[in-house]
Amino acid sequence: MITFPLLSTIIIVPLIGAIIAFLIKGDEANVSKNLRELAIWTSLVVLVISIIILLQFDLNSQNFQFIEKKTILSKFDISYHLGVDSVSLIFILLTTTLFPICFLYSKLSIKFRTREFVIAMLALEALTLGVFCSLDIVLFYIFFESLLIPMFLIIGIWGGKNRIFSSFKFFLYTLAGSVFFLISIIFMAYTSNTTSIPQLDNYYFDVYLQKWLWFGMFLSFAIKVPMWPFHTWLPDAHVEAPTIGSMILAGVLLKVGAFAFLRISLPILPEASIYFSSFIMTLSAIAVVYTSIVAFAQTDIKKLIAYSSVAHMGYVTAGIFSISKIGIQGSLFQMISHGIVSAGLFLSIGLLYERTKSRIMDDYNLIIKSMPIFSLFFIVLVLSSVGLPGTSGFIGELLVVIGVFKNFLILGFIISSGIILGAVYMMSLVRKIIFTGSNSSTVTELTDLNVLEILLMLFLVFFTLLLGLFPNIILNITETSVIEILKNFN
Amino acid sequence: MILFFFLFSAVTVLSSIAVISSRNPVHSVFFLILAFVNSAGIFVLAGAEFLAMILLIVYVGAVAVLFLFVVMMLNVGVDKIKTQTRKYMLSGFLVAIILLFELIFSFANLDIIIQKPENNLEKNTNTHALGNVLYTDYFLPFQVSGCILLVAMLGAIILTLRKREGVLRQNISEQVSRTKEDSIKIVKIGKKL
Amino acid sequence: MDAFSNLNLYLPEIIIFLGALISIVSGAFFKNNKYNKVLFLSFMTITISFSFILFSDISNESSSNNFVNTTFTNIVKLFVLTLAIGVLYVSNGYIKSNKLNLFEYPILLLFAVLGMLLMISANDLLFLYISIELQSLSLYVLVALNRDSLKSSEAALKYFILGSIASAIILYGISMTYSITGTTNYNLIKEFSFTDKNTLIFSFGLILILSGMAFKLSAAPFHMWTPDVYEGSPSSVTTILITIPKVVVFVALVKLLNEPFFYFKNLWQQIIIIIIVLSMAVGSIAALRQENIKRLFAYGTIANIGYVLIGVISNSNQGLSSSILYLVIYTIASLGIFSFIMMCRKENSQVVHLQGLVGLSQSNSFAAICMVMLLLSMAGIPPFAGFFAKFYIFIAAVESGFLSLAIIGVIFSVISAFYYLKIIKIMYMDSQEDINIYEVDNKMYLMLLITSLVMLVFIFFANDFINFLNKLNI
Repeated sequence: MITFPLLSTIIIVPLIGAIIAFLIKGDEANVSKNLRELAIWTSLVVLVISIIILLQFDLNSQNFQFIEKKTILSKFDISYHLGVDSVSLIFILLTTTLFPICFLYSKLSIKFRTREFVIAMLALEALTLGVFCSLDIVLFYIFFESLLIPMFLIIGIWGGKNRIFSSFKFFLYTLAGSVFFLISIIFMAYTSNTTSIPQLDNYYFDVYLQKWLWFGMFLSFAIKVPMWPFHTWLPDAHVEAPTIGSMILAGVLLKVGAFAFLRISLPILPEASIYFSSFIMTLSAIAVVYTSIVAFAQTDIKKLIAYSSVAHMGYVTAGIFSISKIGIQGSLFQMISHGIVSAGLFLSIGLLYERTKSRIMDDYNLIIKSMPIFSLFFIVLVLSSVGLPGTSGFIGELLVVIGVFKNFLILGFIISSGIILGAVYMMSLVRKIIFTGSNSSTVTELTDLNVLEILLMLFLVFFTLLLGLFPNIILNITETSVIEILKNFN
Repeated sequence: MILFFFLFSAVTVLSSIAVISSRNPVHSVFFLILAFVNSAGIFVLAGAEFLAMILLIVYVGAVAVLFLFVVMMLNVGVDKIKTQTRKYMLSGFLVAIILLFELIFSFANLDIIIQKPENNLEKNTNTHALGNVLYTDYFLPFQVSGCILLVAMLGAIILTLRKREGVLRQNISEQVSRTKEDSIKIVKIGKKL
Repeated sequence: MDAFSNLNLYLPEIIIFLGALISIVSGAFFKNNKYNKVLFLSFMTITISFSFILFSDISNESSSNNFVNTTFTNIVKLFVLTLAIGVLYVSNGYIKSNKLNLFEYPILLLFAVLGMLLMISANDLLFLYISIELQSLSLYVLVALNRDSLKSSEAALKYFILGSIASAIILYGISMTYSITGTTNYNLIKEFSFTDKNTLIFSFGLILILSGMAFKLSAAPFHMWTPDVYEGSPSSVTTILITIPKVVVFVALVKLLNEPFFYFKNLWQQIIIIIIVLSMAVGSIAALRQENIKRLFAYGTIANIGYVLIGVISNSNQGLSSSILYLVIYTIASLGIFSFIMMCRKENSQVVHLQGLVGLSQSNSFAAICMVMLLLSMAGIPPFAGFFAKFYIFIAAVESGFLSLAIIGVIFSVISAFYYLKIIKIMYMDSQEDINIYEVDNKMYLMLLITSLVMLVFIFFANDFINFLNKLNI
């Protein structure tokens, strides 16, 4: 194996970018131009490094790779312990791909306090990558929790009207969840005397203790995912966050919670996971059905898509807790697909909002006439979101449903009905804003996308179709690691 | 002995109550003096005559008299304060009762009440014994308490001494040190006048 | 002749004392620029005392009847002296711009520090009491320093009266203990309590002493004075109150509980648990409604004291060292936050309300970033130092079997995160109609920078520092 610490590099490069952003001096216009370029180049460098990691990754190995280890605290041997398996690798790639796209787009949208924005975003990237890389449960917590700070600032400073309320709700909700995670971590470390995730995988906790530990973590992860009763911060945060904030939130941050389930709950606490799986399955089923219905009632486009995100994450959690290889593969696929599709959808709304300053459905009509190119991309993304065969959304939902049907017949039935509900509200959205001419609203003359916007959308749509047509790209990568995750389940 | 002990302590307690309950502040101070004198009596009974005398001289002779002086000078409206304190009477009373019961319980279970001092008092006087301890074992605390007095003095000066601008005051050393040269300026007036 | 046989034992304290005396005399004789000259003298005094402790073999453990020096006490003394220098250094600008530059200010601080140093080493109940008194009396006067302000006088009066009652309660407790044991020496009391059966009156004395100490620590339910006093006194004095006495009284309390009252562990554990829960609850919930900056942090202190005390009940060396870790990080962060508060001046008056911070992120963006780091550290968000402090405290709680305390602790830490966030919100997110531009004082700025850097880079030194604390025999 190579000795160069690639994982540390992808975490540190954005941080260095943030420090440089802090130091850039000059007059107003120049500074913001330089800052944007800095952000774009930094994220591109990270992307390149992550591709190098992909190329050097040994797909057949079951172990964690690119391991780095250095002690932080000698108590419980808490260490700076990084490493990736293929599951985290695909999340790293998702993150490093989405960030350059966001920065390219932000060239068009952020109007004020560019410096703080760039710093926050770069810090966000570094910390997210840190979560995906860390192999020490305390280190994981540190990254997991630090994520809140930049996200809080992004929602709170650059958000819409109700931004302060949303940012507080987001922060306190997530913090409240995380502190129970902390208690679980402490108790786990206290019992097993280690905090290294690979070692904890092999440690057997008493079943009764497992259930409590699992539950403490569940609150934290469920709020981050977000699962059904804990989802209320998400629509608020999405509505108020700036477009880029929403793209990152939906594209990357929602995956952190699910990733935590995969990385910590399943392998370390297998018995408790089985014990609680029907519970999670029920919550997921409720999430899918309930949020679909709520989404149907929305008039705010952004809120609608936010609710659809909750529904999609419902599939993800259902897939994970079907505790079968196919279900977990499906939910991984669904997460990647959702990451791309929802980022694309939020980007589309951002583009519309920039032109009309409105997110209300009734204000739009017959977009197909004024913005044909946009409409094409938008429709493809929506179709992928509802799971049309040939798009990436289909594969994920299919695999999840198959996985769920194996163990939970009735719940599987309910969850699969969510696909239809999803189609209903998403298609009615398309009908309302793109194909019909609303009677009341004034006819708006909208300019179609410019070259950069076309490129960005094209990129996302291309990935959606690519993954839809050749799902094995991802499924092959993740297979060995998924088997490894399930090794504690006989 | 026992009779005197109860006499002194009963008067101490009663006069302490009177200190806080009497309407006239001057009466309060007098009751305070009474309480001091009786506690001095208890000290005498315990064989600590030096402390008793100190208590009389310092507290009765100096502190209480100063109190009296201040009270008479300031004419504080105690009644007004009293009506305000009545609000907190109940809670204070409750705490006092609890404390009292705790005390009664703890002393009721006590096996030994009096610990004889180790010094053989027959040979040395009380003062002698105190001095022996104060300047040896407790030398440091003794000096530190001197320090406390210094701080108290400093504090009093800081909080009360004010240099007012524009007030004429006599500075004797300045007056004495003036010379002819720096206070008189001889100006020659034109000869034409 | 014990006191004279080993003068080295008290030399740091004697230096402070002599320095204070010289300062008084010279302060009275200097003609002009008194404050600056006396300030310089005090700096010198503290530095000499500091270097004396540092260079004369820290690990030298020596003791007399009522005075014990260990490695631990020496290190605490060093920390106290450092804090004192830090406070004097930052408060310089504040003192001058608010026209409080009486030359007695540094002298009183010296006396307070003297009391504190003695308190750390005290090995005798009576001596403890005397040193507490010396410290408190100096602080009372300091609180009243701003004579022309009604609030300052009111705060001083409250502090004085309530503080004296607390001292009286401590003294009463001491006399109870004395009435049983016939001694005030820690070691003798410990020996005595091992054999004697008169536990009731003994525990009564313990409870009284504990209440008095809790008052000095401003732990609930003895916290009533804290917000008023912290609000009323000049900010530089609040900086002193919120940092140094907390460390010192805590150390004295730990010593008290683990030496003379060691065999009453079951009793004081329960009392302290009640104090912890109440302090965390009162501190975090009452702070939510505060609009005055200093009041807010006063409640914050109460909550933080609750966390600090968690390490005490675990009663292991590790638990105590996590408490000390928490205290150190808390005091450093408070020093930074208060130098920020002292810095916030506009139009020739201090900013007292939270709303005065609106738009700070635009006018003084660097100060705002430093402040954000300090606040997040206080809230216990990783990767800042405060997280490690809380983490270790919770580990201590779990290891000593008080899981429920850890859970209560995390719940209140979420609640208290709310008001720290509120400050960030005001600085960053509120509408900026009038942008406040603050006068920048380099000294406070430097302190703000240093403390926030400490919060940020603590993660890299955490291991060494914690190992160092663990090695100390507290």
